[in-house]
Amino acid sequence: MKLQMVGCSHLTASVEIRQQLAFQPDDLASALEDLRLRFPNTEAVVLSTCNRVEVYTAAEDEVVSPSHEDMACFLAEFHNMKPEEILGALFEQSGEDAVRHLFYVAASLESMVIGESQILGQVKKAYEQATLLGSTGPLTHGVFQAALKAARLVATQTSIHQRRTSVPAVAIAELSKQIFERLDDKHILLIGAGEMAEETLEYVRQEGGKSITVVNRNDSRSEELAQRWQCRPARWDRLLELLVEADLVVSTTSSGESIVTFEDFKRVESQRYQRPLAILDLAVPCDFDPLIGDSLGVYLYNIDDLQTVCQRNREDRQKEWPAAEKIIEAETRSFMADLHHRATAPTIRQLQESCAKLKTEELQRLFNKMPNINDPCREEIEYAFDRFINKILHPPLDSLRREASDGTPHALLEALKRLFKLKD
Amino acid sequence: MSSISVVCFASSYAVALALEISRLFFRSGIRGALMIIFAAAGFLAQTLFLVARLTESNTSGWLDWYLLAAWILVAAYLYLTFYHPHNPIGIFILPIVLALIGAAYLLPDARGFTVGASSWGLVHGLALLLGTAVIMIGFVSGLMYLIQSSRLKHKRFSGSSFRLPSLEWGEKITSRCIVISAVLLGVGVFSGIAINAQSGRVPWTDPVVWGSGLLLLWLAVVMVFNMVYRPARQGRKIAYLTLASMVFLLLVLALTQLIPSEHPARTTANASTSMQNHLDRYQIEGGVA
Repeated sequence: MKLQMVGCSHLTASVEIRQQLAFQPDDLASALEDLRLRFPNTEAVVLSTCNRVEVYTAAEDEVVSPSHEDMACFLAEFHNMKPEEILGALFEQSGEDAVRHLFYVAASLESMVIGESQILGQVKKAYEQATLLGSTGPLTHGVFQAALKAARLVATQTSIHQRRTSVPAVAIAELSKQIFERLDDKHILLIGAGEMAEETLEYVRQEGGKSITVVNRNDSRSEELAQRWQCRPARWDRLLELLVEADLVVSTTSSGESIVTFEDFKRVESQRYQRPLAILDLAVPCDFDPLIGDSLGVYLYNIDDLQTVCQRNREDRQKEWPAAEKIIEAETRSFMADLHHRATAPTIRQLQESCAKLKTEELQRLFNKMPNINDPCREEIEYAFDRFINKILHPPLDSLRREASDGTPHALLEALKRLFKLKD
Repeated sequence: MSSISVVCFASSYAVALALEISRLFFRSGIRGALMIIFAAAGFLAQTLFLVARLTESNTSGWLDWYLLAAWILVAAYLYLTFYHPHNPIGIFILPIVLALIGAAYLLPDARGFTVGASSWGLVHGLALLLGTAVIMIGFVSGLMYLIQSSRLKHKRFSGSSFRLPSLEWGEKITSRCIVISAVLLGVGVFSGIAINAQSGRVPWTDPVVWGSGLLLLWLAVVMVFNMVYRPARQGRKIAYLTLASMVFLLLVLALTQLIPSEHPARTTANASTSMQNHLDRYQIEGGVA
């Protein structure tokens, strides 16, 4: 029985290599089909995300299991590359290490941003797709289901996933939620139309924001972004007017100077009637004059304030690491013990069947010699034989079980086979 | 056979409060469940205790009034903790609950309110009791609002240990509490005047009567202020108003204890009985006494 993983991640390979080795959703079926043709009787799951490309393979017979080089060839040839180009970027794990690695990956302990929640869904999707395409089997079912269980345990028993670490996520999901109970009835003003604005929009939408206005110096860019995210574009000269009705303002421009001065804000302040206003200034240098934060009902945060929260959240996640690691180790041990027990199952079954056959033959011989025996006596004798066999088999099977908890007991299995003349 | 004393449910609430405070220091998976279990156990014991007391006699006194107010606050606490499990609301509500129970414990057991004499009397008592409890809930949400607002203003962001409800939630609850408490106190005061008017004499000089009237007047002014001055509806101002309402309520409650009142008459048979004697070993035997 061999379980292994070959692949690359953000820890071993450059982004260029990862991009070249990534499997597009449309390629997945042909990749798994290619693997099945190259390595028949081998189960396979392909996990391909922005930060990692990993191919998990499992085979009952170690001889048919692909080697590291085989997998490197497959990955290279599938992506029209030479194996030498990628060998240095690949890493391999097998057996218990592969199981542990998958558990760490699923629980987001191997992610670039520890505790990010997307990876669990990606692992689940990879497993489900492989199952749908018929490339999974008992071993991959077992290890992936155990990985998903371990990841859920980490998520529920630690707070490693609860603390956000990116600036827009902290700004929207943590800070604005401390001010507003909900965002679906709030007027949200997004200033800027760059990457940060787009990332912010994603979080605003996730948190239920509906009434979103995008304003940018370059009208065409704000219109483009607004169209993509189905929100309202507005002209730059309406900025102050929009500040009157806004509840939440997120500013992400790359302007070299403040775009809203204290004097500008004073002009619209009286029209707001001190209604709470959260301003999340993600721009460097700041878009809003810091003095605006002193106004009644205004909660102004700049990038440094948000970075402080991000850093604290990162530290909080790090504090949760030992607890998460403990869960993963316990789950790995439990899975490996189950796997080793499973390896002993055929021998145990053979032993039990052999004894049962022996019992039947001996009982038949005995009952032939005692034709007048009544049914209660017959049952009692059968019961006694069963008890005898169970008592005889108990010590060797118990020893086998104990040995299996530390690894597949090859020597003991071989000894049992030879002692009881069991054939594969 | 069971035995329930004030100490029983006060202890349960004290344990729930200690568990709430422990949020500030460490994380625990089972603390939430323990808090609810202790508070619910205390609530059940207090309910049985109150039912026993109120069915024992057709009169009640300040003891019952304070205990009922505490009972309502615990019900509110259980509701809020169930729906907002991550917010340490108990840190704010449970001390008030314990203070009310403590006040009941120390006050003389004068049974002067006649329970169930008339439906108007019931409306009068219930409206005043609920109005008082709502002012206290408004005070708690106002206090949480001010702390949260101050923390956000000074960029002291809350960690997971002391996460208060959002400002919007606090503002919504405080403004609703002002309106609801004004309406309830209005119903309570006017139904009381109506009851007394039927007997031909309204005790205007009674501290409970004029104290409640003053409190109602204050809440009415706050409501009008809210309606007329638009910024008052926002943020901190409304929170300060709920704090002032609580101070006003405490003054009225102090007045009712310091100045002789007909609410209830102090010349009842139990007037000289100390609450402590009465409550220390208040027993419910064979179910309801």
